[in-house]
Amino acid sequence: MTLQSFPYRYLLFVVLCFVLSCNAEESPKDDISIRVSSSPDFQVRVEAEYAEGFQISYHGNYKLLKILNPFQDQTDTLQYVLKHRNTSLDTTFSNAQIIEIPVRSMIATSTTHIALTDMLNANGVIKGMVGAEYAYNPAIREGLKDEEITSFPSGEFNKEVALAMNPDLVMVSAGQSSQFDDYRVLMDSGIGIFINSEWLETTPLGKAEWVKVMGALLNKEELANKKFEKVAEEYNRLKSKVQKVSAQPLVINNLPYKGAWFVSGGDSFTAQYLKDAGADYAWFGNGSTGGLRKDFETVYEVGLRAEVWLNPGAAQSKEEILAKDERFKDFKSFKTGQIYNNNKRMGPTGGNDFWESGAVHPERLLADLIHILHPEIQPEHTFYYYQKIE
Amino acid sequence: MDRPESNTRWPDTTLNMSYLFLLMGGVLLLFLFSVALGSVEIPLSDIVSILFLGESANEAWVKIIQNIRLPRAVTAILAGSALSIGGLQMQTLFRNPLAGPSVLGISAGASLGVAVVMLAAGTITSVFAIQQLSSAGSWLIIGAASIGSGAVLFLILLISTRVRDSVTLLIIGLMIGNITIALVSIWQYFSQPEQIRDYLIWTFGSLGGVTGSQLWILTLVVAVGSVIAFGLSKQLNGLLLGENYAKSMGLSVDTARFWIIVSTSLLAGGITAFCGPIGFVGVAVPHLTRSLLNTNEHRILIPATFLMGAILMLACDIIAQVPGSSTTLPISAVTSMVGSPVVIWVILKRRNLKASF
Amino acid sequence: MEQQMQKVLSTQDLKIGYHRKGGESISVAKNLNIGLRSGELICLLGPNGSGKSTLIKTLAGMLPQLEGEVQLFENNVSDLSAKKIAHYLSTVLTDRVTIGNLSVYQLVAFGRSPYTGWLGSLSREDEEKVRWAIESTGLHDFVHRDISRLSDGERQKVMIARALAQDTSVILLDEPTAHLDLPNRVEIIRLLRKLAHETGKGILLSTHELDLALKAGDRIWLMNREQGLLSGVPEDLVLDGTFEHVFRQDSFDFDRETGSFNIHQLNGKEVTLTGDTVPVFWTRRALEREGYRINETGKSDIRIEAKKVDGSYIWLTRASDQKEEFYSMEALIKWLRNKR
Repeated sequence: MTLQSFPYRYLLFVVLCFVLSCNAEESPKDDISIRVSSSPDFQVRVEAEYAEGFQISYHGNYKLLKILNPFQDQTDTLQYVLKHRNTSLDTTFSNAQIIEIPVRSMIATSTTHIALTDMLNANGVIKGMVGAEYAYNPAIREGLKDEEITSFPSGEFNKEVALAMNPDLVMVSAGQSSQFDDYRVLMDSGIGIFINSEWLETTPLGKAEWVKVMGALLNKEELANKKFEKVAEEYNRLKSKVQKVSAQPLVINNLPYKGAWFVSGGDSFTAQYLKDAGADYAWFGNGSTGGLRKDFETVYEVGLRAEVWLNPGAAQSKEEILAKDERFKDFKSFKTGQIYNNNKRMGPTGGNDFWESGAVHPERLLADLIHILHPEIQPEHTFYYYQKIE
Repeated sequence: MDRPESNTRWPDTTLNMSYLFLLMGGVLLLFLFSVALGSVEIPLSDIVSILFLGESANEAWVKIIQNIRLPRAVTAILAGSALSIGGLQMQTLFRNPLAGPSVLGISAGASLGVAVVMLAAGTITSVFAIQQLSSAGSWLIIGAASIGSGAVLFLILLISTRVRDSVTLLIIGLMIGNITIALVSIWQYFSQPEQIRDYLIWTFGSLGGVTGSQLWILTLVVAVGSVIAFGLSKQLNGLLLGENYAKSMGLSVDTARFWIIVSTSLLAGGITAFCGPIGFVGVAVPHLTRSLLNTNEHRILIPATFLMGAILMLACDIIAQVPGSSTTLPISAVTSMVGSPVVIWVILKRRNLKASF
Repeated sequence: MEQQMQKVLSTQDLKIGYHRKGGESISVAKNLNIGLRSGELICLLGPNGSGKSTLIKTLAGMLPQLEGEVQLFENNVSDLSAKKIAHYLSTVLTDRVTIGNLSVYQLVAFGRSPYTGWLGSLSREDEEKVRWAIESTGLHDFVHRDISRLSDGERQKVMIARALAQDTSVILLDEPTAHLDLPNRVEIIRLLRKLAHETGKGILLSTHELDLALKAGDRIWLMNREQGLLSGVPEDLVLDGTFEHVFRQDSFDFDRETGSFNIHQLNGKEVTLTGDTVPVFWTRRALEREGYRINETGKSDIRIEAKKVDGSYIWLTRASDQKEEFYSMEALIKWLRNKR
């Protein structure tokens, strides 16, 4: 009987093994050693001035893009070799992904990726969009409506559809680590996976500078330099004006949720804006770059005396704020009406341009904040992203 | 005493394999379905030619079948069968119909490992993961989950050498699981919403993330765990009557228990590490199999449960893919949503589920 | 007959009990020197809590010996592996088997575990032993029946068949007749006696039922908290007053004359009862229920003669030289009650 019961298990394993051998793909090639052909020169180059998360260098017929880990001493964490389509390399790289440029088609996984292409007048490369309902850009929305752009639902990334589309690149935000395995399959199939970690930047200009990375991918360095320079110039001009003011109004931000109030850490991106806009902030001294979980009481105490309240959740009116919690009527900002939210530019399906174009236009955002905190600097300014909550 | 020997209809004790053939046919059928159905419509003729010749006019289709659907279908088979066999062993060892592969806290241990990596390190983790992406595959989460479940396993084994009573062990396992879950929730409480989201996505479970060398390792782990389980058939049969009876029939219960725990940990820990926590299957499939086959003989039950688990998981995966749409549902939710009515139906129809224990 | 006398299981100065945390141990009984011979049925008798289960589990090697030795044939049990023990000794426990989806045949076949290979596949010889065990226990009509659909008595027989299939020289049974009704009890005991005498197995069964032990046991091991374990042929133990002594301490009243316990509170009065066998037997029961102490020779104040006359029964009573006649037990009892 022992003999009788055995073959079936063997059979099963044979079936399994057969199945496995069908998909036993060779592991991704880390080494590239192909002979050279032509070597185009890169006339216009980009360079990171504010951003800490990437470095780019130009060598003969390829660009070497390093995505850095801004939190650790480690220098390079991820390397991309950007090479011209139809040319070959004479250097061997280990641990580098090859991306052929210019990228002709890509799937974006965050609305900030749209902002990057939009700034370079290259919305056409976006052929797919994850979480498309949050896109604000009218051109992209049009494309989604005409089904020129494939909409990927949020949740597990649909690799089948992506493979069938066969884009040059999928741009991924570094945070979605739980889905990295999904992207591996695409990499194995020859689709470039580009990790965009712009959201790790702690300064607004650093974040906006990632437009240069997009420029390198699209061979549009010249335009990227030009656009970013304008943004940086304006941002720095505004910032220097604020440095002359003496009074710095105290600010609180966000709304509590179930007793916990997430406020921005002292070294966070938001805190950087507040600094640059000349605000006083209770947690500047805190070194966190992310959010801080505070209990209601702690923030309430600050809220009572804070002059300005920014970004109270999704609220559109004072009534909505009061509906959340009656105690907010004691806030000084509530009494004086100094409450501002960043939801002036909302798309019909919930997209907020603040999160989209705001990423590459920190100068507009800063101008809004300065107008809130120090209206005397630019009295004629009209809000771009912000609106007063009445 | 009259012995009507000639009148007695003695049973044929050679194991009845027809069920296994039937189940194997089911696995094969669903496997083909699973490969044939997906978000992208691929004609049947192309699927056949891709499967057997590895070629098709459309290069993308070849990649979809070979890189996405085949690995996922194989993972579904592995996950379904591993969790089911793990659950079966736990139910027999603890003589408790509600026991499952996660009952010893092994899955909770894996969750803790993953939570530590995802929630504690935050962005650093992401960067680590970026690094991983460029090299040999994302082993970070798998490693963390393995360490987590391995730690709990070690603890349980240590306790099991001191506690000889399985019910006590069961309760201790549950409590360790509770502590682990509590730690995770404290961690979550102090974490950034984005990190929690990341962790939450992991807890939904996924069959689609296991590829290449990971699939080989998972296959190996499941194979080892299943072979151990099958080798324990006799001991498991004895344990049906309780530990004292098993001992009285010459089975060494302590050794059996050790290997049962090792096998279940490999199976449950491995699947949790590679696919995330997938509930329900491990509890339900053993009942389903016992009930449909009407047997508690583990030499049949283990292979049958293996196949039944594969069938159920493949079916759930097909449903989770929502064929023809580009949407997918979390596999863990589908297993419970689809599996529970099936079990209820079987209970009401067969009425012998209760008699299993 | 020589084979019948062979000692198959014996103990030397055995102390039984449980190990506790911290090395401490609780002793249940000690200085046990007993021997089980092949071909005999021994009833292990004792009140609840006297250590019957502990002794059986210790003999079976499931509990450690605190002191002393248990010898299985020529071997010390603690030196033997579980598998080796299972070759010599099988056990029927009180643990309830509640599983289902298993046929009677499959369960009995589990008894072959000590002999089968790593997967438990049955050889031809194994099959024959299983069939023999099923036939010996009269279970051939149930071969295919699911064990969850058996009555308690049938299930107990299946467990015994399983022990038989284990083909051991010794079978230990812990309370095999508990939870069974009278016909089932009788059937099980009859079966065990037959097995012991026909197959030469040494069988030890524990019970707390006195009359059953007295009737069934070739010998009785009487467990007792004070004197340890007393061993003997049942009638000897009755006649030498051992029973009376042991059970009186437990505020039981063992009646040497009937070999049973008196469950009735005595009212302190005595009745002299004489007459024909059948009416005397039943009258005795009725009087005992009423609390009277019965003697047959004494000259008590109340004397009753029960007789059978022309197919009906008659009771002649004499109390304080007053004679009366009764024609039913009911009338007799009514009269006795009025006398109090």
